[in-house]
Amino acid sequence: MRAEQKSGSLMSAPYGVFLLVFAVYPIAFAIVLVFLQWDLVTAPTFAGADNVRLLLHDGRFWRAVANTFVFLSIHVPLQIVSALALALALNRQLAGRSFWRAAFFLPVVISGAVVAILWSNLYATDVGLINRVLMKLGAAPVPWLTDPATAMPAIAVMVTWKNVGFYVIIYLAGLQYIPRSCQEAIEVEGATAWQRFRYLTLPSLLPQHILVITLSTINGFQLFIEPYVMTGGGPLRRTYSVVLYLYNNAFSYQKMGYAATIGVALALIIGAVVFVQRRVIGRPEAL
Amino acid sequence: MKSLRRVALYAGLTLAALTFIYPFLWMTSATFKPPLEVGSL
Repeated sequence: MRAEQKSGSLMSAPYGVFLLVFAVYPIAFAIVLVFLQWDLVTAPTFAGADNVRLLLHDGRFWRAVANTFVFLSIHVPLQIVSALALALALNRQLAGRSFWRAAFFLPVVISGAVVAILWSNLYATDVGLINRVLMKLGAAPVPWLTDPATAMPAIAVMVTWKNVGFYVIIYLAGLQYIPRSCQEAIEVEGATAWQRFRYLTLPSLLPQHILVITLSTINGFQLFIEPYVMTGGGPLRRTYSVVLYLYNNAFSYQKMGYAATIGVALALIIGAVVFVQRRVIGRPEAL
Repeated sequence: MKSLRRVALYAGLTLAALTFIYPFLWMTSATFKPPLEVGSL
């Protein structure tokens, strides 16, 4: 038994070291930085609770939080609906099923920066593909990324498009776990397609809904590449996300202590939001 | 009725797949075009 314990400890040691170096140490360092002022050049100085006080009264930070919530309010529902609809369609007997699945998964494997550049071109007001199609249909071109009202929704649609293939896989796995006997039983009972979806499929996918909502919320809070590449946080700071603000404080203004404070605050906000989501959606009667 | 539904399913999937694949085709075609023609369909 002791030999087993020893070999078990030895085999798990590399992961333990990895966890210490790449998870525990950075988290501890970020928490320490909250109480310091550090510009990456001179030695850090103790700042007490100055960074926390500044954060609580920082309008730009709260604007970025509000922007991120706007993004989430569009992205998360859109992600669930689009992923579920595609998964339901792809779960049928289809000719060339692998082709369809690969087509929808394609954007997931492409770098976020590349997708952001691609969509910047698609959204371009004068020469963008989307506006060209709109103009061919007789509609006026829309300044997707330069109008404060459309910039964040445009980014939310793009991020949903990029990630939908990943969530389709999650829903497809869930759909294939619904017992055939249950599907046959509800069909024998004479349920309509809508009733089958509402009273069998939707509740059976509860673990997948929780996973999709949790992951898309966490990913949504970490919104960075898209506004950084596509809008730089504009227009009128409407696409300025929390992580973009953190990045600018750390690497443009060299305020590492304040950037760490933003990071810790973001982690707490994500934790609180996910906790509330799990309490609300995790109940069986939620669906 | 059933075959009509299948046609609608394939039509919907084709349309959706086009929105996923077309940007990449456009991106690929753009690599062979001069900057002024990049926006053309």
